[in-house]
Amino acid sequence: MDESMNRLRGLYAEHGPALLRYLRRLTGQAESAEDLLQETFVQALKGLERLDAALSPKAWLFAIARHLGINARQRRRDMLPLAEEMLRPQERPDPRREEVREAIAALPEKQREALQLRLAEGLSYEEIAQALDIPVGTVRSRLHAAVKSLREAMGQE
Amino acid sequence: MNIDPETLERLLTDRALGGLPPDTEALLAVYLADRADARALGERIGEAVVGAKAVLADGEPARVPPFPADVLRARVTARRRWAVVGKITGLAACVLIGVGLHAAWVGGPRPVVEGPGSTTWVHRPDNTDISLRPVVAETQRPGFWSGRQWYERAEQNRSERSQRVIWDSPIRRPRIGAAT
Repeated sequence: MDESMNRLRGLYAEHGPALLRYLRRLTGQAESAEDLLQETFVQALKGLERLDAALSPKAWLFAIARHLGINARQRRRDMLPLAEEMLRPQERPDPRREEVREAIAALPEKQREALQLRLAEGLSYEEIAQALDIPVGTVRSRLHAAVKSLREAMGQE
Repeated sequence: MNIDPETLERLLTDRALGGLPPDTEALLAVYLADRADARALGERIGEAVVGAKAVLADGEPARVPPFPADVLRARVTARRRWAVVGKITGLAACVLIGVGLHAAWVGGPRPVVEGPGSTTWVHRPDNTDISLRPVVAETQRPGFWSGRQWYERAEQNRSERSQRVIWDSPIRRPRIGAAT
């Protein structure tokens, strides 16, 4: 038990901030995100034997967090989806940045999620594939489509 | 030799996203060295990715609450406790089912039935009369699968004369007949 707790403590310190950011974007609420972060590690403790078989601990934790976040969002209608969270007005809006922000918010959710996991959370293509339970080729396709859409929105094409 | 435009765009996108293996990236760099148009495309793709990264990483750094060690320990302890309760309940259920089946099986006397075509006689202890009577104690209640229920029904229908059990076919129930 102590060994498991120490292992989880280390994972919490290393990946907790990224998981919390991800859950905040997924649910749109800071309080719910903290509860879900705690629940993520409760589930991780239950399935700690699967950690060794996972591609990476980070991807494994993100998969758990994603599952919990999606379930929570489906249960509660007052949670904002990621797109609306992205469209919250900023204090000092930069026109160029707002343009990109709107373009990202307009992306299909699957492409936006893949882009966030790659650019904001730093997961590799293989880790994203494990977290989303999809093939690596699908991850690559979603990212390519997302970048192409952003370029079109930014007037590059 | 030129790479087709779609493949080139995918390679440049993967490079901008940091998803190219090192050897592939090195080969691409050699390819781009003397192709200005391809380099320009790569720069535009890079700008889009950098802009997206800046927006997605925007916001306050996440302040993570302390590691919930107490909560995790409590959940694990509760889970173990429920697992023990579940095992005990299952074991108790198996014991009760076994006791119930045993009670039903031994609830009444078993008729000594030799098979189809044979006749079964049950003697009273005083041998004064050969008749069909139950041989179990009166205080015992017939079990669910007991032959005693059948015996008692037969006893109710018993005539004054001696009777015998007639079972002349395996697909028919035994019947009470005259002792001839």
